Amino acid sequence: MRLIPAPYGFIEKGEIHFNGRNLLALPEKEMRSIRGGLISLIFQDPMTSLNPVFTCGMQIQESIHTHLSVPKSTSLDMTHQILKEVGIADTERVVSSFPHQLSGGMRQRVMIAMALVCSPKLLIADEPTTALDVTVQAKILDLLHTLQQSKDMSMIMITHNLGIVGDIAHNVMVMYAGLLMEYAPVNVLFDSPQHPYTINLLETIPHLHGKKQRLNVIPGDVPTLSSIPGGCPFHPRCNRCMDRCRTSEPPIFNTANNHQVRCFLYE
Amino acid sequence: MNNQQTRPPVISVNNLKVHFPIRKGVFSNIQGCVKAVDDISFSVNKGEMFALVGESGCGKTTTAQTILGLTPKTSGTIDLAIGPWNQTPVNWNDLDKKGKKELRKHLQVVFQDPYSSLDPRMTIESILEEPLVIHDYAKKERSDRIGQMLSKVGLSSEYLHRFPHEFSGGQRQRIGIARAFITEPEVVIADEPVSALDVSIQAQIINLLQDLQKDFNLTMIFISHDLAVVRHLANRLGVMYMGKIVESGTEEQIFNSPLHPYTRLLLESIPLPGKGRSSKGQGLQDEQNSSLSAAKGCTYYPRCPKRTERCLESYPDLKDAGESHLVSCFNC
Repeated sequence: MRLIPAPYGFIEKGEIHFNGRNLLALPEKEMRSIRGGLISLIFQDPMTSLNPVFTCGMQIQESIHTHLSVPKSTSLDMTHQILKEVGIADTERVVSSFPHQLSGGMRQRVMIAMALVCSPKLLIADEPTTALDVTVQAKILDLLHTLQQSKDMSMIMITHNLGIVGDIAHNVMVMYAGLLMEYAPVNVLFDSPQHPYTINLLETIPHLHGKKQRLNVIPGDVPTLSSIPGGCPFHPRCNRCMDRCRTSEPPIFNTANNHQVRCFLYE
Repeated sequence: MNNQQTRPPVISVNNLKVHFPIRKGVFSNIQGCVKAVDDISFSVNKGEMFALVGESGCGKTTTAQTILGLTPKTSGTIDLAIGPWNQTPVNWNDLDKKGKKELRKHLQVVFQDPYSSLDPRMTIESILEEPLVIHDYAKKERSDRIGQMLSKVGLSSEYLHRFPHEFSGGQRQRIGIARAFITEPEVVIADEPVSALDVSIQAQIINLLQDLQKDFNLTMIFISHDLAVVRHLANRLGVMYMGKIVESGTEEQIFNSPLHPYTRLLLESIPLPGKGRSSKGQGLQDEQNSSLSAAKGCTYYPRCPKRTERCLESYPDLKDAGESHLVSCFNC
C-alpha cells in the first residue's frame, strides 16, 4: 500500500508488482487512485479506524467519490447496496449512525463495506477479526469468504490465528522476525509442516478435541525487531539448531512443488 | 480427600445480581439499569479450576470483581471459605477493614493486560515486595519469598532491579502471576491471563499456571473467551450469556455433549488449525433482530435456532440434565 511513514522508515529495495505494474515506481498521484480503488485494506481494530465525527454513510461515500465520478444520489444507492451485501438489514439506520452507535461486529462490517465499495481486485485484511468475539468472528469469516468468491477478488489475510488460516486460506506464508520461514498450500502446511518454527507453532496450540496433554512450548521470547539474532533469526529458540544456523542465514529451499522452506535441514 | 465433603465450597455465589444504574437528565434520575450480572449461582470447591466463558460484555469480569470485593453487588450472597474462615464462610460486608485485608491475602488476582497492570515506575523487586509489606512479612522472609517465587515462574533473579518496560509480554505476565502467588493465596482469580499474549508464549503461561495450581493445591477461577484454552485448564466451567449462566458442568460434559444452543454455537464457531470451523455459513443475520428480545423471556431468544413460543414468556431456570450438568433451556 506504500503507507510506511516516510522519514522514519523507507523501502530499501525490492519490487511489488500488481497487475504487471511496479507499485513502488508509481508516482504518488497514481498510487492514490490504486489505494481503495484496486487494492483495499481492512484494519485490525474497527473501534479506532473509523472516524468518530462522520456518519458511516458519509465515510463510505467518501471512498466512492474519491475513485468514481458519480453524483451523490448514485453513491448513496451504492452505499445501501454494499451494506446489504455485507449482511446489514437496516441500512437506513447504519448509514445515518456514527461509529460509536454500532456494535463491534457491525463496525467491522462497515469497514468491510468501505473497503469493497469500489470493487477492488485485491483485499488486504489485517487481523480483521482479532478484536471480535468468536461467534461474531465466525460470521465475518463467512462474509469475507462469500464476498471473495462472488466478487472474484484476491485476498491477503494477515493473522496470528492458525484456526482462521485453516478456515479461509489457500496458500500460507509463515513469517518470523521479518523473514519468510515457510510457504505452502494450506493443507500441505498443516499435514506436513517442515520448518521447525511451523512444527513447533502447531504443537503449542491447545486443542478443542482429542486427548488432553501438556502443551509443547517454544522456549524463549519473540525477538524485538531492533535486536534480531544473527544467522537464522529463529536459532536461539530452535530445537534442531546446528552450528551453521548461528552464523549464516539460510536461503530459501524448494522442497516440493510450491513448498518453500528457509532452513538448512532441507538443503 | 475426605475433608472435601466436610468442608463448605471455597466460594459459593448465590443469586448474585450486579446492576449498574443509568442516570439521565439534570437531576441524574435513574432511568433504568444495565444488568451486568443477573441472578447467577455457582460454587467452586477446594483445588478446583473453575472457568467462566462467554462473549465480551456478558458479565464475566464483573462477576470476578464482585467476588474480589472490588465492585459492590446489588443483591445475592458471596460466601468465601478462605484462610482463617475456612470452616465458617464470610461475606465481604461482614468484615471490618482488618478482616478485609486478611481476606485479600488469601484471595489474589491475575489481570488480563500485563502492560497496564504493572506500575511502570516500580522495579520488579518493589512490585513483588509490595504485597508482602502490606501483609507485614519480616524483611528476611520477604527477600526469601521473592527469590523462590521468581524461580518458580521461571525468571532469573538478576531481573530484580529492572523496570516492567524492559520485559516482553510473556515475562510481564510471569511477573503478574508471581505477584499474585507471593502471599501463598488459597484462591486465585485469573481474568483472561493469556489473551494478550503471542501464541508461542501462551502455551508457556498455560503450563506455568497448571504447575502452580498443582504445587499450591490452589483453587482457581479462570476467565476466558478462548474455549480451547479453557478445555485445557479447567475441571468445571460455566458458560455465561448476557449476565446469566446458561450452562454449567464438567469439562467433559460441556465439550463432549453441549446442550444449550449458545454453547453449541460457541463450540462450532471456533476455527480449528488445519480444518477450519465444523459448520459454516449459518446465519449472517442476527444483531438486527436483537430488539426482539422479550423483557421477561429468554435473553438468547433472538439468536436461538430452537426458540419456541414458551421462551418468550418466561426465563428458563437452570435444570439438572444429569450428573449436575446444569442447563437453562426449555428445549434441550
